[in-house]
Amino acid sequence: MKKKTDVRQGTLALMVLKTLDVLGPLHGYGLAKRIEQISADHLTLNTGTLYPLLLRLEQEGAIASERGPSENNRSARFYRLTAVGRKQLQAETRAWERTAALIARFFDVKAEDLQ
Amino acid sequence: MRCLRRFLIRLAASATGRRDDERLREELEDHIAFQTAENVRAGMSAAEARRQAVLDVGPVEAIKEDFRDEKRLPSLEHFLQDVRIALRRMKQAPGFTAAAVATLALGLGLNSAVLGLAYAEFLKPLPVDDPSRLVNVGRLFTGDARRGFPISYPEYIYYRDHARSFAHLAAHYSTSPMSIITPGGPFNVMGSVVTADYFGLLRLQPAMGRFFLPEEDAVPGRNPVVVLSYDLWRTRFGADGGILGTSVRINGTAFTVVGIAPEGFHGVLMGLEPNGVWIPSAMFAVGYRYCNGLARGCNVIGLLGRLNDGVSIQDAQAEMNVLTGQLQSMFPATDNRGWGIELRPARGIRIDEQQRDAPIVRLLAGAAALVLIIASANVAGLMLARGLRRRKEIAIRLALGAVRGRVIRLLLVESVLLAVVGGGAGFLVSVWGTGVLRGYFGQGGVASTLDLSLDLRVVLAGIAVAALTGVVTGISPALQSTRPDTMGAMKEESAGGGTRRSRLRENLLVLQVALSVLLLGSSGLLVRSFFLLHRGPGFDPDAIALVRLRPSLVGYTDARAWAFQREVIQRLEALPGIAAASPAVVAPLPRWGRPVRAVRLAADSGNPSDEFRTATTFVGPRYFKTLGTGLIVGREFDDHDTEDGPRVAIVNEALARRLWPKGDVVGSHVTIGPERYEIVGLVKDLQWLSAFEAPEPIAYLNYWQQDRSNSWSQDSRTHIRVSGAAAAAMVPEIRRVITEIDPDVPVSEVQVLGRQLDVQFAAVRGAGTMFVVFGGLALVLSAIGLYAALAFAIGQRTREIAVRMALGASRLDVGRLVFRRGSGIFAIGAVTGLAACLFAGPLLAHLLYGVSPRDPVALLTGPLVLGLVAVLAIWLPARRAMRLDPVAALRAE
Repeated sequence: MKKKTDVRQGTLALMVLKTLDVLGPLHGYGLAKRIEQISADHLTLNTGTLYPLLLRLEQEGAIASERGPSENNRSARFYRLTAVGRKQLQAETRAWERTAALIARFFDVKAEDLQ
Repeated sequence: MRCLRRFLIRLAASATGRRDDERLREELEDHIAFQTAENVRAGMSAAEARRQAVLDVGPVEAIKEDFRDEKRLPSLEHFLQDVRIALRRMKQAPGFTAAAVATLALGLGLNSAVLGLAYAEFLKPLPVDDPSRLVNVGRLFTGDARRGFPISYPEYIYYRDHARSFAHLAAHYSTSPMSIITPGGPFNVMGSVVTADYFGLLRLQPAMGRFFLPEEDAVPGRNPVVVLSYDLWRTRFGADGGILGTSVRINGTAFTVVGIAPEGFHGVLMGLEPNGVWIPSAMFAVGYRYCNGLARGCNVIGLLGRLNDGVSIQDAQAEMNVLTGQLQSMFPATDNRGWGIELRPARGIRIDEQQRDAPIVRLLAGAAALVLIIASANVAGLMLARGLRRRKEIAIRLALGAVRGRVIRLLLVESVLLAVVGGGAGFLVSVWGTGVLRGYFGQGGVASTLDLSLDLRVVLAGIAVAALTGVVTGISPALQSTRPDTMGAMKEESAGGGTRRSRLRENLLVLQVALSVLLLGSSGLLVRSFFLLHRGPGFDPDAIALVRLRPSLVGYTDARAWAFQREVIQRLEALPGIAAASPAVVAPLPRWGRPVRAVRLAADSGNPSDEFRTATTFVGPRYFKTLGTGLIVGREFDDHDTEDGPRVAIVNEALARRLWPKGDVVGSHVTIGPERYEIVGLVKDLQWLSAFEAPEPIAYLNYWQQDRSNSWSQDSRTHIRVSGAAAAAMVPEIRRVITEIDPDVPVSEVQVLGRQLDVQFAAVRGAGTMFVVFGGLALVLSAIGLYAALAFAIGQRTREIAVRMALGASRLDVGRLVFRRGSGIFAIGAVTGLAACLFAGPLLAHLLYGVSPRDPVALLTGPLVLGLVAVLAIWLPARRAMRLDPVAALRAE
């Protein structure tokens, strides 16, 4: 299973929340495909990671789920973002941006800049 | 918040406990269906599409596992599972469980009883609002750290007016004997003289009426008002709702009742007789008579302060130090150098009593801890033995893939569970132990405010100790039995591989024996003191009644006080059933220090070494007849020794030996100050001054020849010897005779001398009783431990012994083998324990009475009994080994 090494701890949750925020309610399979698509197939999602994560987010109140009809006439469990989840997404987005900007400065730094 | 929500949901999922994988199954089903459809669209055959989809999803069981772990609380569930297994195992071995639980219950119960005592004595806050800000202020003798001494009222006023650290600073004299006369009859209570802000400081609300007004505490003697305690109001005044405004006589002065204190409040000194009444400090003269309670130099009051918010006790201490320095420079004559002022949190009993009890409580705590260690070692030994028996089960668990940590945890859960159940059962033991301790420590049964009721903190501490005990007893057996030696263990191999384990068990046994010997030896010392105490101080205290008369409390002049005393004695001696009565300034074996005067005394020899300081006290005519000891030679004081006649004295043997080693005591003279005394009698050395030290030289002087203006002489103790029956029966009659003469004179401490001694020796008796219990327990536990361990070891070595016998070893050889091993363990333990006794003995010295801390009889009796029990404990398994039938034993393998 190690070959599927994919995303950093914690970042997958953020991706799930963002995807649901942008695309609206999705079922598990759709969510997995969308995330892979957005990552331009750099990511391969492990089923064994995704479903426990969805459960955890739901327990935390960030997402809610209910069964509904899907595109190929199957019924499936659809996940949607809740108000709590939206707030969490915003907070985490800001945190990520700050961290990313900070790290970027370190990557950009050259010896002469610090003279 | 998020975490909490999730935790609750998972907890609920765990609690409902359904193994509900329905949702995940659905999700995976859907996932595979979508993927299959996708694969078909990509051109695969239906079968291949589904196969690929399933492969993609990965190992379903592992996913389920992850999912379940997210959904519920796996750690909790594993723990509960462990508990279930542990409970099942406990049920399977009821004998072992009962033994372990009972052992731990005794150990833990005694500890929590002692813990409760320590808490009540040293830590318990006053039962009032926000007690953490309350401090006691007392004088501290900087020389030797004696603390908690009273100060004078003018000093209090200075502190109160200048200290900024306190929201309130109140003064109190809480040990004021008060004789109260009501229409229902006279009685005595412990009263308290307090400043007006005392109740406000404590934030109390009266149950009825009000507390003191500031103006009632302003002019000495003007406002005789009194607040009664709730208990007193209920028991002595029938909870009379119309009591406010009525009058009661206290020490001869009429007081008006203004309020009833709230229920459960008994004053601010814990561990003493409860306060029944409070009067304002302006009425000090009613409550205290040896000096003017409001005057400088009359050190009688204690201070209680409530710190301002934000002020630490250190800040307040610093401020009080400055003020004390100012006082000392203003009044160098009354405020002696070498005294400081000390603030201490108002917790526990009175500080001087804390200092008195601390060594005893420390000792009890030490002994209780030893018992717990012995009990734990015993249980650890049992668990170790069981662990051996369970090696196969554990090996199978490990072989099937259980992580070692998990198996250790399982075993630990078992031992902790045992300890917690033991702790629960120990609760019952602690209730009993607390009862014993209460009997001895709250003033030896006199009503006392020492509150030993269960406190939440004590209970929590007890639970913590129980859990810790569980871990300690469980950890090494658990580590030992899970050593990864799986194959060896699974091969029903009992003899080999166990050496390390049996060594650990033997070490535990040695420890147990050593500690038991230590406890038994120490108990022996205390028990011997106990018996000597019981034999008494050289006279029979139960035949003597004591009455304390305090005519000065009601304003008697010294001449009138003496006439009163003489009349009391005359009337008492006329009573049938009373053999003799005699006054004395103090009772034998005084509880508070040594209120006897040490004076410089010189013999006529003119030899400078014959001039030294010695104790003196004043006793009346026929005093030694009253005590029942009589004289060796000479005569008692009698009615011919008048107040103005020649001075006479009686000396004890210790003094006689020192001054007149050749004899001729009677008729000799000594000089004390300006006066010459003729020695008229010689008495035996009595345990009179102190029960704990060898009798020292003492000169008894004539009560009626002392300086009459000395207030001690007016508030005398009259000793009354009752002939025939016990003195206790005469007490009411004695009281009646005295109140006939003057009902106003406070008569207190009417009791039998023996009773008073009981109070004095209560702590020693308490410690003695507990030690007997501790020692007995140690004896039983060690014997059981020794027996169980050896019996088990024989069981383990059955095959080895059978082989030895088959090869020609005689039964005697086998018996010797077992015996040598058992007695070796015992001998090492006993020697270690006895050595420890020699070190521990001096720690007990202050509790011993008439016994040297190295007294061989006391030290060796207990260990010898243990030795006999040990022989039995060794003999039983040895006999079993000797009777072993080698053929049967080998065939059984």
